[in-house]
Amino acid sequence: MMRTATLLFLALLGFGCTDVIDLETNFQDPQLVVDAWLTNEPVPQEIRLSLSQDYYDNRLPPGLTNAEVVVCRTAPDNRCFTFFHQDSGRYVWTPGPADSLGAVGAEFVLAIQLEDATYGSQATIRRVPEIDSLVVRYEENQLGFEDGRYAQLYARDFPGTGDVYLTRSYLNDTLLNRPFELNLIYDGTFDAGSRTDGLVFIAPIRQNVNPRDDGGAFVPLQPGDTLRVDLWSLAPEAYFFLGVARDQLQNGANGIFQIPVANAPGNIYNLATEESALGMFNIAGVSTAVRVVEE
Amino acid sequence: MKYLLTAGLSLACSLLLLAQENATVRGYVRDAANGESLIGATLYLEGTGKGTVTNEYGFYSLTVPSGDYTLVVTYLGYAEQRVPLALNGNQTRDFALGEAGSVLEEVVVTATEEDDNVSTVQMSVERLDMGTIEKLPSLLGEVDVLRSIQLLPGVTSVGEGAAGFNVRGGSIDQNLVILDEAPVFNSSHLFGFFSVFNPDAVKGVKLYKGGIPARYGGRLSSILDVRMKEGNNQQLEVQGGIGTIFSRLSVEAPLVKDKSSFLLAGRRSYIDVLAAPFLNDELADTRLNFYDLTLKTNYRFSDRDQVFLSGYRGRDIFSPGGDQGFSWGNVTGTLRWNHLFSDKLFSNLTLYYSDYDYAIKFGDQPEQDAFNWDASIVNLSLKPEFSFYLTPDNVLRFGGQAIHYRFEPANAVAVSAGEEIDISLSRQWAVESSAYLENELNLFDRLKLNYGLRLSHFAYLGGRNVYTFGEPLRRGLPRPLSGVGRSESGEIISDWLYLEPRAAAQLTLNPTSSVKASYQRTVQYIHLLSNTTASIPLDIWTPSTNNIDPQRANQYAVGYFRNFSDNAYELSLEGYYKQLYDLIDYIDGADLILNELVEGQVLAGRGRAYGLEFQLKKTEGRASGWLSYTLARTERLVEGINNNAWYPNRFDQTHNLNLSAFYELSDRVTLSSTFVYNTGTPTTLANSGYYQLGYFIPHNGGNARNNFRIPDYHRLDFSLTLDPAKDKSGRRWQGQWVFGVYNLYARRNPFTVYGTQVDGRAPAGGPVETEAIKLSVVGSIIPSVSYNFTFQ
Repeated sequence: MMRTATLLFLALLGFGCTDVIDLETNFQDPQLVVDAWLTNEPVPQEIRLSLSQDYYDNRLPPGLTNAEVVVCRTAPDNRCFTFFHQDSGRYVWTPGPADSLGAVGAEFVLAIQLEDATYGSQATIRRVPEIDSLVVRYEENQLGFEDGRYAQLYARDFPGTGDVYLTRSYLNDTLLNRPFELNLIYDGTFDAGSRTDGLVFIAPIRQNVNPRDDGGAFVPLQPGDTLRVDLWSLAPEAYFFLGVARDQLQNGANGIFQIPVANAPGNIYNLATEESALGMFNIAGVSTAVRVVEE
Repeated sequence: MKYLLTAGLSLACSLLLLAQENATVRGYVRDAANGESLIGATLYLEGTGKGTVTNEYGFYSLTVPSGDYTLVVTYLGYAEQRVPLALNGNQTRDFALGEAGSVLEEVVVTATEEDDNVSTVQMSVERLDMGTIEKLPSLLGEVDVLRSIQLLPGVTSVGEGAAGFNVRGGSIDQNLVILDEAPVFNSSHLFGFFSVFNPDAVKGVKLYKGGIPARYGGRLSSILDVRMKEGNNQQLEVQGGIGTIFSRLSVEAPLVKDKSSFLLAGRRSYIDVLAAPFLNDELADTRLNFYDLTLKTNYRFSDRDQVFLSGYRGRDIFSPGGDQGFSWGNVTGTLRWNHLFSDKLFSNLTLYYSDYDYAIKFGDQPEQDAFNWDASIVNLSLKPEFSFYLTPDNVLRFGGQAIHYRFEPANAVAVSAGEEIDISLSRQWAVESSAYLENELNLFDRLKLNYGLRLSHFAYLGGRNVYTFGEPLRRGLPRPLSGVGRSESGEIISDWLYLEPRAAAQLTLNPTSSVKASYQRTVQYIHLLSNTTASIPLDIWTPSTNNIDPQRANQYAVGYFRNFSDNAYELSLEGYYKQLYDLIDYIDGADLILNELVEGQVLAGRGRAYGLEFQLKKTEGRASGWLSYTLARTERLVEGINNNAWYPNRFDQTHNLNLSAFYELSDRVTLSSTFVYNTGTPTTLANSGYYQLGYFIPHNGGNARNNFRIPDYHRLDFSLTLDPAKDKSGRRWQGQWVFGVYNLYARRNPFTVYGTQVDGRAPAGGPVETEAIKLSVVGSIIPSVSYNFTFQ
């Protein structure tokens, strides 16, 4: 909102501007990155190992291929899942039919052996609410929306505070992963501080499953589009990690009201030095809804 | 408080007895044309070296042995008056000074005694009168009090368009901005582009950067004292103007001539009116405007009693249509009563009310989905003050203040799918009280002292939950809640008592030069929670609590002052060193908005700031102006930030150079120019990144804070003022044109630099494209024309 107001003001007067510049970061110290966002769905699960890179490198990081990766369920029973290296740093465990990492409430540890170092983490599958409905409606004259069809995701937060979720939207199988498409939910609303609980997800969160354009504005859905929304349960530290990451991803748009650069704190540690690697280990429970947009 | 008052009064009485063979002359000095009191006018008895200056209400009192004297009254820009004074008993003499004949002297850098720079004990003080402020080139032609003070040494801002200002390395909430004694909690319209003070209603401003006398307190870094005009008590006067942003109109007139007058001044922006044709359907109902309204009136009951009533209301409104949108603004009200207990004992009793609030309302169908949030900080204060003019060389000041605060961080309701949930935050209450004693003493004709002691107390009051927090799981994470207690209304949850010594000394080296030194300890009990580069209107104030300690500071300053060429040039050189304690900082990723447990997100740190300030002013002649240069550093040390090492504040500027020049081409035409140069401020940039969940997450490898300097800032502005011809000065309608050019060579001065992700969706399996962006708030040359008029 603040952003809109500032931009509107600057646009009206027409004297604000941005320029692309070259920036020398002198970045020299790459760190281990573990991208371990798993789900309990019966589909192949992937953990990716790589190194952090210069912010302006504009390339995919090369993977680390010489590691051993295992995830073990420690409660309610003991079972280990070995993730085998597939290619370019991707380590994959493929479940058999109807198999999965576990049910809500199951507890896990992650172990990574990389050269001489061992890294570890732990995670619990948190509860995830059923999706009540994924509704597509024609919106007219609504603030922030060009007239057209938009989806809303209806689900209700569990009673009890501290339930955190993430939505992952796919439009015709394309993951919506623009910075403003990152949709985090804390007890049905945005943040912990508001002390809401058991709420139907608030309107901005319901709407945030729609695709956005370059400027961050919502793009209407077209007849025939297929929208799939996965609702993931997160651990509190995964929510905090993504919350910091979201604020940083969107920070440029804040103009003169930027917040300080902050690092999202990871939960995977070198067991010997207790230093944190970059990235997060989380196993999500998932609810899914799919909608084909009608004429 | 009571004890101090009694002690002060008994001391005053005993000294009164000692001074029996003396006689006192006292009275007021005013402007002959409109009856406005003249602050800081000089009165001296020729040949005796004894003199005084008028106080904030234009009052003076001079006690000397009985005898025959010549009393000289001077005020820069006004014709001097010399009157014979046969002083054989107490007398009352009021003076009305007329403006000096030449228009050349209208542009004055200080409205004070000519050798004031050298001769007063006060250092680190900047004064600007409206005559100077109005002649400075301004953004879009809008005369602006706060932008003007940023041209003075030691005053900076984090960037163009940012709210507030930084004084000697202090943050923006460390300035006490008072409008007729009432604090203004957000001094900006439109985020930070324009200040909330209507130039037509302001008499002048005074900024204390250091050597703050004991009578002021409550903030660490500075006091900005904005005084409103009283209103013309001689005749009706209407002033107005049409500018690029605002239209203004003010009316002042006597209610009872020489006894009572009023001033009513208003401004409104009309950006929305101008923009309306260019907005598309979706934005057609958009309202974006801001206004302020100032009212002041006074009544002189006798030459011993005078009452002033002033009020202010300002508001910014941004609405996309209907009753949705958000707005914010200040309301202040001040009632003051000047009373003379004796010819030597002047008192002022102030009662003020101040309220800053904002409101946000969203939801097309409010019964279905809505969000309503309003917040405020309200305070009410009583402040008795006494000045006892014992002799011209000995003035005693004492007084006290009690402030009651009510903080309402959020009265908020969220409606989601027809269900309403109250997400309000608990209110907070506090009482701040203080008492002070201050003595201004001239010794041996060469040494002047102003020393004092301020005793301040702050009580954080109950009636709400009291939270306690444990140690964070890992450094940098929020502190977890460890306990919730309940407090009774009126109960003291936490309180603090501090002594704040203040001292300033001036040693005259010779009639044209002096050295000065000062020390101050200041304590600040209320804090602005803000972690954005420029403060946003939604930032909330919080009292010191059981989890947030008061901020404290010590400042040491020394200076050398010299005037040249019969006071035509004034030079000052000052150095300062500041230590700051329990500064507020925040954990990474702090959640400051709508957070009941916000205290768990706050960190406390130390600070230090030091610098050298140089200023050369030319106050007379066709060409006048000033050159100021500041070399400074401001840093902080916070556990959990920057690997626990000192780092520069976001508003740190190593070099800061300002040149403001005025040239009278003729008695109708004035050319003004300002040039500004400063080192770019430091910021933190992500140097690296990594992929998670398909997002490319920025990362600050090495965890350094404010390790990158934004490119330097420089700008040149001009303005040309066309005044009405002097031979038409008898006319009732007088018009003035001001033509301005801001940012003459159209430099795209950067506000900030940041990394961002290029528009367009990253292809599946491909990298996210990134680039570095420089943001300029003003990226072009901005011409402006404004027309101002006076009708009498």
